[in-house]
Amino acid sequence: MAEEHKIIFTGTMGAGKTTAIAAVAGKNMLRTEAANTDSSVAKATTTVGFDYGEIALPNGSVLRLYGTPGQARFAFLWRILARGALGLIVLVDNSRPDPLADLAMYLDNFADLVRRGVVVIGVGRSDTHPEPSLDSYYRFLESRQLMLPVFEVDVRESEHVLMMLDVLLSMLEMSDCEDETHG
Amino acid sequence: MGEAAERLEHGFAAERFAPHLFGLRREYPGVIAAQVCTSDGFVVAQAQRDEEAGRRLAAMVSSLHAVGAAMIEDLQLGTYYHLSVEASLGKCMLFAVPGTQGHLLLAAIADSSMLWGQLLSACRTLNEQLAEIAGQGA
Repeated sequence: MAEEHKIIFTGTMGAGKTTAIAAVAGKNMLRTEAANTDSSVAKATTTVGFDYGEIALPNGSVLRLYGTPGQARFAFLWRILARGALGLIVLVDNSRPDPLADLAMYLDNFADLVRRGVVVIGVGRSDTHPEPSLDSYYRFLESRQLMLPVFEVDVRESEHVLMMLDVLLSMLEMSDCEDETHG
Repeated sequence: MGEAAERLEHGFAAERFAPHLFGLRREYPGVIAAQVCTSDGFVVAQAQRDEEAGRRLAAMVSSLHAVGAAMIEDLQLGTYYHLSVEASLGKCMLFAVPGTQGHLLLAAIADSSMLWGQLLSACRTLNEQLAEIAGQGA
């Protein structure tokens, strides 16, 4: 039977959430961008509501992709958007001063999804900013008793975004199987 | 000038908006708070004492406005004017300030003593005044 899966993209302002959804959902994407007045980030616009796009899967199911605003002042929206979500993709910008602290903030704020283990982490701009390395990310996650996949990605490339979604869907299937086994 | 106002390219001064916001509160005791904020959620001027509450309001106003505007666009309903939310204990209205290319928003919160139409009319008048000021500052 065809199903709908709600997936959340989150991460700091400029990490590429809108770009990632646009890369796979195409022209019919819904955007809620406003002119950016925060001079600390060189970006013309910023998402202040949410981005929305859809992908139809070959089996008839639909992935509903929601992008959150990045800034902490929009945390009230993070909680709203997380309701009913099956999985989370956290995009980290490796060019920022402390990407691991950024990651920690999103893991804390989406604790329910993190607890269920349905989270994929995409690290961007690692070509120009190789540190922290993927090993550092895995050590960081291990220190929080988390086993989550981390990938270096360029979210302008649809293949990279689809790969993260593929992995997330596989994790969801495994999670369902475990629930059935233990249920 | 506040930090948020300084962020604006147009150089809108908070001092020029604030008297009009306080004027709304004086004229209509049912108005609990009034605020001008940027479309990306920073306070420009406000007539309320709790600054933290004002910052939270600015973020929510920008989100609601963006979602409302996106919905109007998606439904092809023309130009977005305002958004109103009514509850048992009060109501709030959000407006895009004309002439600011959607960069500035007006939000007004009122308790249940104020009628919806009364608030709408008062906000429209205020919004015209704000637009005039914004036009002078541009």
